[in-house]
Amino acid sequence: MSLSIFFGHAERYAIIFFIFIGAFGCTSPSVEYQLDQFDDLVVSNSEQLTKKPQNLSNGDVELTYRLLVSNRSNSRTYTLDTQQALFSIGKQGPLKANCTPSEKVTLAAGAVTKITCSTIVHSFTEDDRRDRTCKFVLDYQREGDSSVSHVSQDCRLKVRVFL
Amino acid sequence: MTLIKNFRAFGLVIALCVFQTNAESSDVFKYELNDWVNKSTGTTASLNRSCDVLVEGRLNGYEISNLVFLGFKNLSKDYRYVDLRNIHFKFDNGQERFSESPGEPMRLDPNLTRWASSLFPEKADFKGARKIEVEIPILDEKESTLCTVYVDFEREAEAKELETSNFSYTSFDMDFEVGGTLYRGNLSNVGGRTVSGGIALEKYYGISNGWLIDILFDGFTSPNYSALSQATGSSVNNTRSVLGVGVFAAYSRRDYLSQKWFLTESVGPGVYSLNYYQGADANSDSSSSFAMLGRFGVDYQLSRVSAGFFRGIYTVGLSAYDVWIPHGNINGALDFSGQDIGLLARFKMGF
Repeated sequence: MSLSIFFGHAERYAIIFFIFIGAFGCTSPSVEYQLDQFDDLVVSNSEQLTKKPQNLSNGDVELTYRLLVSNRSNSRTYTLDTQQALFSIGKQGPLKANCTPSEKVTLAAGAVTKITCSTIVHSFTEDDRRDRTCKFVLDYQREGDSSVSHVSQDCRLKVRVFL
Repeated sequence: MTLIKNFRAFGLVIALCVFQTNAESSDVFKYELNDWVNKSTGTTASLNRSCDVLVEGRLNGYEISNLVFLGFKNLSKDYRYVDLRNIHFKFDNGQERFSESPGEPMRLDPNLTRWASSLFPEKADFKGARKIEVEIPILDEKESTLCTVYVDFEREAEAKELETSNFSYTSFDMDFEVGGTLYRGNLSNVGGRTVSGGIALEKYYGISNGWLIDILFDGFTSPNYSALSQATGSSVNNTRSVLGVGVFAAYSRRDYLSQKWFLTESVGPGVYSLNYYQGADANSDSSSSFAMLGRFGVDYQLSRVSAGFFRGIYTVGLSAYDVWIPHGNINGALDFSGQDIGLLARFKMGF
């Protein structure tokens, strides 16, 4: 019986099928995960996305950075100035970032907030892509303190940024 | 041998998936438990600090198990260790469990961020829970407990509990089946007894609904050589062997009676092909016909492996099938239309 003929085909189909599942079922964008503390603020950048929207011209990319900020103080309130957020990417920058929420965020003791900031980097070069370094800076103020401090995180770009 | 190669290919892909999961923390963020997401942040994330260690926790759910993602940063000048084996979960529904995470304590170098995942032993522990407290022991360089850092999760009052968060199931199953036909209609014109087998790939979206690709084999142990040779216009006794192959794409529904027992019902169209091999060189020829498949299965969970290379749910069961072949014939001379009803024992690997 020529079962081996059938299994020969089945094997190929199975391999193609599993490669398909492997290629599309397991891939994901890379993130350089970071956790930091600034005064009483614990900051995580667990979601960092780079993409090239359809409406951008060649060589432009949009970087989106999502921060989670938790005020671990028992009593002090902090104010995050999302209008003063900046990116540096490779040798470019600082570039102004557009953030959501766009108003200043008041973070009471024990509260957590999510801030999403993005910027478009024009003329993103092969050197920038290889460099992969970026920096995100966000101003904040502590209640009763007039001085401005910074949440400052070094980040790393996703490996595959389309040019 | 070819089957062994199939397993190798399958193993390679699974290994790649496991590697990627370990390599990139972002993977786990895609699978947060929706019913435990905090509306104001859009995540389950909880941040805390204790004895100079920052920690972020997130609740993640996969089909088979739930886990807590834990990110750490050591702000001290000394090494710290996370005692992964003794992470303790406290549910407000009264359940208390230790993590299933194996391995040695994880070292946290000064000023570096590291992450780990800690496995919940049972998804069922989440049933009815609104709060979970995760206790994480932090050790010093002598591996004695320095402090315990806590991460708390809360399901908001208006958040409806999701069954996918508290029930173990699979999204991709592979079935290997063997058995025989019980009733063959006009297929009995082809010949004597039939040994049947099958391979099925099932894909489910959520717990109940999915589709499958099913390949059924009917091996005729003593074909009616005379009738086959006449139908094919060959000399008498020229037919060497006959194999019926049905290939179907079907809708499949899965109903869990309990965590261990479940039923599956499938129905869908396909092609049933009668392959006959003739002459000294066993040249193959075939007659194909549209066919419909109906299946009913009952399965019992043998084991559930929550982590590692063999992560999956393994079951044994019985599957009854009915293949309806409305117009099957060989050159109009040999009719093999009608019902082909059989019973198969099966082993199922679910991931």
